[in-house]
Amino acid sequence: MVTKNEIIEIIFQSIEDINNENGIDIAKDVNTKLFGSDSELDSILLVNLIVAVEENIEELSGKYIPIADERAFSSENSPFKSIETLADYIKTLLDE
Amino acid sequence: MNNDINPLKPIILITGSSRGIGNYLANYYLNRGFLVVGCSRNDCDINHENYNHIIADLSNEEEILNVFKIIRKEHKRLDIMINNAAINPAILNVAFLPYKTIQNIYAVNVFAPIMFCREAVKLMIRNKFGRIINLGSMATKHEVPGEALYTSTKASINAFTRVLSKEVASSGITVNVVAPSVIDTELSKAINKIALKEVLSRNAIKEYGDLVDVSNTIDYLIKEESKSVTGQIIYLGGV
Repeated sequence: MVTKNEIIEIIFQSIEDINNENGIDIAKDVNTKLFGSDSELDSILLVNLIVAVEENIEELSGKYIPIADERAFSSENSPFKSIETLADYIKTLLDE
Repeated sequence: MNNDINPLKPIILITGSSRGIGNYLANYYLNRGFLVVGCSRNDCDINHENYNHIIADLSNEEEILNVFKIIRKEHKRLDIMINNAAINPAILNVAFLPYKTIQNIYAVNVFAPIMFCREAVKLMIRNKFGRIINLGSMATKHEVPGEALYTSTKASINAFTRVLSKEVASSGITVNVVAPSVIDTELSKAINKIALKEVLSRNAIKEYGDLVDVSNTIDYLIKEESKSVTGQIIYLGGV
């Protein structure tokens, strides 16, 4: 069973990869906004981050979960609001 | 299954590699020293140390995802993808098109290539390099009666390709359509010879195309130097 803290660590690790690859400095903070006008990530960086998180989750759990499924975009409480909401959403997917 | 992860060998994924154009391309790129991953609903006669064949029903999302799960596990990356698999099950007046036929052809000719593009882009985006080739058809130019369904699937892929090319250009990924002239394959054999001849007569080159026409065009598009050639629909045969 993967814990929420482990998922947050994976997201932080993925952000570090993205920061290093792109010469940027997205904050590794659970409140960091991932999507919307007040987010530091543009759409390509968000795609990069999601891909990195999916890969790292697969490495840890052996389970591939496409994060951007239809629920992610139909949900009133978008999982991309912040790192915390993304971690909660991934936890839900992994526990299914 | 080949476990050799060689960074010097380009890794190419070809759908529909058990026959026709896909089978030719798989053999062609194996001869060029590529690592080739092929997939199709059936087994494949290619026996080569650099070839991985994955049996997958392309109308099934889980089976498509499994193709990429294997690629991630075995190869860790993907350089080139050729969306070749397509079906043309019925040449029928629109008035007679069964709903099931519409669903089946869209599943293989549209939904599957879109899914393959989605998953391929995810693998390519991290390396900031990728070449995606979607196989098109001259049917989208000739608008032949009886081919409305097949033509609409290929027109959909043309539009999808052009938009996707804009989304991924900054990640070093190009996306293009290669639309061959008529090539002697099982797909073209199913079409009435007289109708084919009539359609070919509209092209600058009125004879059947060769398989090498397709590989020659793809060779150009997948070159590193072709980084600015994207979102293009290249018709062969002078359509």
